[in-house]
Amino acid sequence: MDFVHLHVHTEFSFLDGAARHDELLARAKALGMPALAVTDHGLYGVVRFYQKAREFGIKPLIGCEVSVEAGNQGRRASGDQESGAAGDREGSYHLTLLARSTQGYTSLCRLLTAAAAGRPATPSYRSPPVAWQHLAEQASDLIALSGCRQGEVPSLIAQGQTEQAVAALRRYQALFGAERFYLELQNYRTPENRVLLRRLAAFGQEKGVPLVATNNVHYLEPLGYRLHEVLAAIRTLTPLEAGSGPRSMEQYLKSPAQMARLFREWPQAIANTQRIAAECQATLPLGQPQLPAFPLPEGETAFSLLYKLAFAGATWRYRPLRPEVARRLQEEVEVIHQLGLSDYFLLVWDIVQFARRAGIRCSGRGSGADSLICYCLGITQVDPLACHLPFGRFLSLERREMPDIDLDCDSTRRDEVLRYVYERYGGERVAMVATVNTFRARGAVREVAKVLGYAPGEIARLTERLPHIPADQIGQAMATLPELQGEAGTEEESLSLLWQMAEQMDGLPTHLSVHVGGVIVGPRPLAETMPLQEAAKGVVIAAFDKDDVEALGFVKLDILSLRSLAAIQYAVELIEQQHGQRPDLEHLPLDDPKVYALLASGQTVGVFQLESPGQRELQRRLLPREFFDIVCAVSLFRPGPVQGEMVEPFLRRRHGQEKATYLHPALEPILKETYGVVLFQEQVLEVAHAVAGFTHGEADLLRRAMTHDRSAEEMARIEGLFVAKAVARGVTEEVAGGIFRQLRGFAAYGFCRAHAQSFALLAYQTAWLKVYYPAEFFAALLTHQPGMYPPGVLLHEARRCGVGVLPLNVNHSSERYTVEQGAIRLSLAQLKGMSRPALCAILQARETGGPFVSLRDFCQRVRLERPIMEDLIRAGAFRSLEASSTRSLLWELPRLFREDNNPIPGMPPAALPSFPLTMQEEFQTETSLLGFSPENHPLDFYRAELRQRGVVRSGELAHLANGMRVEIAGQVVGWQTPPTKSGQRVIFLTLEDEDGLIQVVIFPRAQERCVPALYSSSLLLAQGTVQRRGGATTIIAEAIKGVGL
Amino acid sequence: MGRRVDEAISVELNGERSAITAFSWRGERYAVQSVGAIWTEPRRWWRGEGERTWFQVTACGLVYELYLDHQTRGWFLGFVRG
Repeated sequence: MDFVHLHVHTEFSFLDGAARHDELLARAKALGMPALAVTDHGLYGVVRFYQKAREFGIKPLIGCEVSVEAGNQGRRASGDQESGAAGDREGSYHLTLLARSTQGYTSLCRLLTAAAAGRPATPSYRSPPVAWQHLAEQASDLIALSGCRQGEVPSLIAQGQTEQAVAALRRYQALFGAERFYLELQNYRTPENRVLLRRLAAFGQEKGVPLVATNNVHYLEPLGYRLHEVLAAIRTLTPLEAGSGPRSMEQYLKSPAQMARLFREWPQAIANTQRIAAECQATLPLGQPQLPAFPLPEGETAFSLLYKLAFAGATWRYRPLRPEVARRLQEEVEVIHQLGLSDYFLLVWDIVQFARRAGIRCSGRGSGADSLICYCLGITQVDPLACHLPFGRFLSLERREMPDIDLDCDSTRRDEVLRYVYERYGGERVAMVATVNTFRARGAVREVAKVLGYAPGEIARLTERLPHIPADQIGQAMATLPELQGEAGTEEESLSLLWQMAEQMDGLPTHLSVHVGGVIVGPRPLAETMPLQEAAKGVVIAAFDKDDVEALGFVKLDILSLRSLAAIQYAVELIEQQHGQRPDLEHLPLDDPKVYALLASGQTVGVFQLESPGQRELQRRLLPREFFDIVCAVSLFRPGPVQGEMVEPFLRRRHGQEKATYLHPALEPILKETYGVVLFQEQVLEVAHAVAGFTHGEADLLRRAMTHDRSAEEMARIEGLFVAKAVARGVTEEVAGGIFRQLRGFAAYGFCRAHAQSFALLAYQTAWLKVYYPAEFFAALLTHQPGMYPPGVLLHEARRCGVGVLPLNVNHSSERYTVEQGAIRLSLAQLKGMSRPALCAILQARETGGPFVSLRDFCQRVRLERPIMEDLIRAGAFRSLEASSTRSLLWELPRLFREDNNPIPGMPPAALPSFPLTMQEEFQTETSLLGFSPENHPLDFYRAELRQRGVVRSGELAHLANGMRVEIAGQVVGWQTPPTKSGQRVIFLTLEDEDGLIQVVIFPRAQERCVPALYSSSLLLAQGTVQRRGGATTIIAEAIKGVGL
Repeated sequence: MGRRVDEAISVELNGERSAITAFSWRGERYAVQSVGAIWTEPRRWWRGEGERTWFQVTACGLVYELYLDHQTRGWFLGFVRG
């Protein structure tokens, strides 16, 4: 007998469903089921389920399980004053809803949106309960099933409250229609469940309610209940041992035969599943463009306005205007018009204009920089004609995909831009896009360990050494990484269970959060197409991620928060403050030799995109001398080119050590500037265009086809197409094949040049600031911390650039780092434990009452808690006011906290013999309070001893011969393990000593002798050999141990 | 209502090994007259305990609840009910 599962929880019932879409659909197909419902707690995974189901040839039935608020049904539905009914009970009841039609799907979206409206943001494990009123308003085209044991009618029957059950039944029938409300029966085979089953069935038959058999599926196989229990324990923050309530291992995807046997006494309950499945015809509006409508002035269309603005912009950008500009603009406007995207571009232009008017630093990047229209509208700052950037990489009639424009905004003001979008286009039509967070190794191990009852200290020990890998690679990591051997080994059975369960959780969604910047603007209220909910700060978010909204035809715009822009903005303000004039960073000449000298030195800590250890080394080897070199550097040091072994050929040819060769003359003009190496995605397009005659749009499709995983047959087909077209243009088959292979080898790794150009501009601007205004530059970096280095490293770098550092001071420090006479003043916010209210209180008191004159004066004017007062004293914030030592001030403090200011009885006099803190104590104090010491480096205390031992400083490395064995010491700054071509782990460790940063590489053969120290000490002593490549020096480690403090 | 027993037993299955036909407990053989509910009970698997499949059988006019321990593969009499 045919059967369809109508009550199914997938992984998108966060921390409840333990069955993945793929698994469920594959099993349903294998069992011959023609349809499968998805009824998660919300509609979170419905788009991808729908798409996947169609791929499997299974009819997707769209639904969700909601919780209906108890307490209001009777009064609101019928207006009577009946009390004592189930409606008065606190809590909520489950209800399974299925959409009969697309209108029914809209009803679900509106229902969930109404339920979420105005609710405080909570971890989004499931949608909030729905009020009866909302259910009544959105019951159109829905089929309702009474739910599991927690449904209203089943729970009343279970408690023997038959009258109330009848009343509830009538309410639901009145709402949905008698023929669309079914009594759900579940048979978990236990004696207790069978009692309820029989009562429910009898009740349904007596009252003439249609019955339907479901299995409230939560996992795929019987033993899947274990993972389900782990997820439930995580969700409820309850150890497994303490779990209560009925347990079952029956809620798996049973076969039609199994269900038929379980319900052999009620065959109509089985037959009704087919009937319902046939009745449900809801489809999702996939692929239908949902483009925003820009509010147009009278007499204009979106096309006409865009046209005018684009050409006006062109006369602004190009003086004089050239024919090629006009031609290219015309082409782009027409493509945009044909794709129906004119409104979208106007919307982006409008947002950028707002940012400009509001003085918010904002810049477009990504493939949008391939567009001349974007350049002329001021959305991007890259001239695509000068940089040979084809429009087809961004948008084409052939590809017909939605554009993806990224806008980077000053991080401190990005929310103003978002607010503008909501206000301008209407809150109902705007939403941020969601991101689905999933379990990876560390999170999975942490959460499973908690519910298995491990102590917090043990959990920290188990997780801190796990690399940031997917959870299903835990076993492999255990077997191969030296730092995970022994201590965290698998010999203990309990640990074995922990790793096993954690691996099973790989990729399972945990919760929804807000995308970093994705926003959609719809032509109509979004709640017609997707549920909306509120995140923190009142931001409305769609319950779908970026792929889902794109599938539904929406165009996403990324309004991103970039701390580097905030840092640049602040640096510019400081410069104006200190020097009386504001630098025009947008119009800097891009050929300043001092800037290139800085880059070539590798002293690029703080420089946007060029400060990583790998980039610093690359700069020293590349020796950049023009802007295009920066563009290449940004593109070269990526996992792709490193893995694709493009870096070395590029550098060799750049320095004349090797000649670039070209398989065909047509390649030379395209690849000459990158020395024959295919570095940019745009070059792939140009080559395909020049050699095989592809249009840019077709070429971009080709590029994408080459970058995705394709079968050997598929790639052979693509190669055949390319070669055939090339041969038709007179290229020999051999050469065409060689070119294709070259393209294919690089296509996966090529970077978007438009993106690189945008980033290179920011890199140049930050390098320029570092050269000419280092104090302001570092103050801005320290305030906004946009890069990868902690404040201590930035301060030491500032010192090395000749910038002084002024200590914390209650009269001079403010909430940001500032500049005083060419030196950086530490910020009050840097003090650990300094809360925002405390900081504001200090600044407010200073503003209203003038500078503080003593500690007593401070205590009287600023009422702070004692711990932060003690920290301020210890951090030296009162040194300019009080001659007394730190210890004396601490001793005096309790007296100052007394209202009457009298000495505390029994306390010695205020004046104490002075016994100042030792340098080491000061260092430890400062480090604990500020995260660093402004005065000292940790190695200061060991340098004499290290020198005796022959340990070399980083400043001396440049004079040592290549291959020389050496010992160096430094504080750990960080380490990376980027992907390598061999797949083996290579660790790139950065240490810092008094002279600067040292790069250490730990190859697999040395990791056993090196890695344990990385976890046990922040000060390390490394033995190894010097490796010099170009101007870059690296230490190849042989052994590393900790230096004690 | 019933009496908890939890003692090891041996069972006899039919030819297809799809049904219990009799069980022996404390030296006595009980012929099964009918089999009622069958269900599987989750246990403390995180402590290594195996699941149990329960069989409600009628013999000599009484209801006996037998279970198969998935971990030990042993059969036990769990409850005797009136």
